[in-house]
Amino acid sequence: MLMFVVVLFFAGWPLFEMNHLVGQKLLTPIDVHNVMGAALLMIGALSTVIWYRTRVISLLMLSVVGLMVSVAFTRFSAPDLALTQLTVEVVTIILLMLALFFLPQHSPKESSSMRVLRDVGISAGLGIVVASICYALITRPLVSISDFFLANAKTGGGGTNVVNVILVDFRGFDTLGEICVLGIAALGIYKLLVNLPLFIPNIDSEGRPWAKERYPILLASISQSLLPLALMVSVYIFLRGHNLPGGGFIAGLVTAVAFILQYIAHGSNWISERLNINYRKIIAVGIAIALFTGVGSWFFGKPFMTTWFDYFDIPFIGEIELASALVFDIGVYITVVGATLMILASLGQLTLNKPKEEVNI
Amino acid sequence: MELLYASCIGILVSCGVFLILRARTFPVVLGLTMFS
Repeated sequence: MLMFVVVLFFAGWPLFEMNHLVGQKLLTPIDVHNVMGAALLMIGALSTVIWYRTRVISLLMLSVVGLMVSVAFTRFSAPDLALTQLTVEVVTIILLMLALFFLPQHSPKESSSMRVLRDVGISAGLGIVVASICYALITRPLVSISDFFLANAKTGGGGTNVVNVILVDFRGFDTLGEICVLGIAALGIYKLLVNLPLFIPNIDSEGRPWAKERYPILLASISQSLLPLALMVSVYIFLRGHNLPGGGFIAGLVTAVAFILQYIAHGSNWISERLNINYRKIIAVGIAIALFTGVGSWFFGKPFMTTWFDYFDIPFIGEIELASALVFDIGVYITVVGATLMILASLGQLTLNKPKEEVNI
Repeated sequence: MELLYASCIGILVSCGVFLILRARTFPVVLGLTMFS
């Protein structure tokens, strides 16, 4: 709380000293679709807060917010971000649902009305400060470094999707750091949960027993036939990533979502019988591929992470482009799949009654 | 348009901060998600 108050004070104070909040740029007109989208987003956000005690409803409302944010990304021409946000949103909500199974379904009423009032004050103040800063920024002309990337993506990185070229080429080292963080987070979750003896509730907070029928047959059969299609889509998204919206990170998330659907439809036992994969090794392999792609440029006397690309003519297929960044992207893809599935499997494994040794995570 | 955009961000920040201030794990996680 103290932190928020400090931010409120030090960020809010200079705002009062500004003469004009609105910058020199002309405002763009409002249209109906944007207003409706924004209204849905705000309703979702407020509902999350209003029903925060009933956790399932709160979570559902949060998913509305996430969906509207990804729609906004599409609307404002950021398809890469929209795809990422959409898939991340699905994974987040499913993982939170899974965690919610072990938690109380309701938050107790414990704050006094004074405290609620105080918190409403702080959060409203902070919201106004952030909104004002944002408004002041976007109404002023801005010179950013984007022009450099736009000018050099095709000639320097060999791809027309600037976002992906930044990820795997210009800022490849950042991405390497990011997938390491992802791997570490997944390992941390695994380590925290691996031998956790947890009470498995068989009734919910109101005393009603959980349904005995475990895996709906309809979902099971449909999800099984969807798996190859989803994998195909993820390969497609992966391959087009260098030139069109897509890339290793999004493709990894799509693959992970496809497998998560299998987990939901069939349960952890069914999966671990058929797909005996050690996710920790997958993460290691992914990071190693990305790292050695970077190291590879040393053998050609170039600095770490220099990329290479060229165009080839292949009979029947035509001209295709091969880039070393694609190999790096494979590393990203594998790490994302491994990390996401390991988090899911770690949480899902808690619901099993089988001895721990038989389950492979 | 810019005003609408800024107020959306403001609402998200407010709701996120309020949930974080609830100081219970689940609302805090929801709040952080919304904040980010």
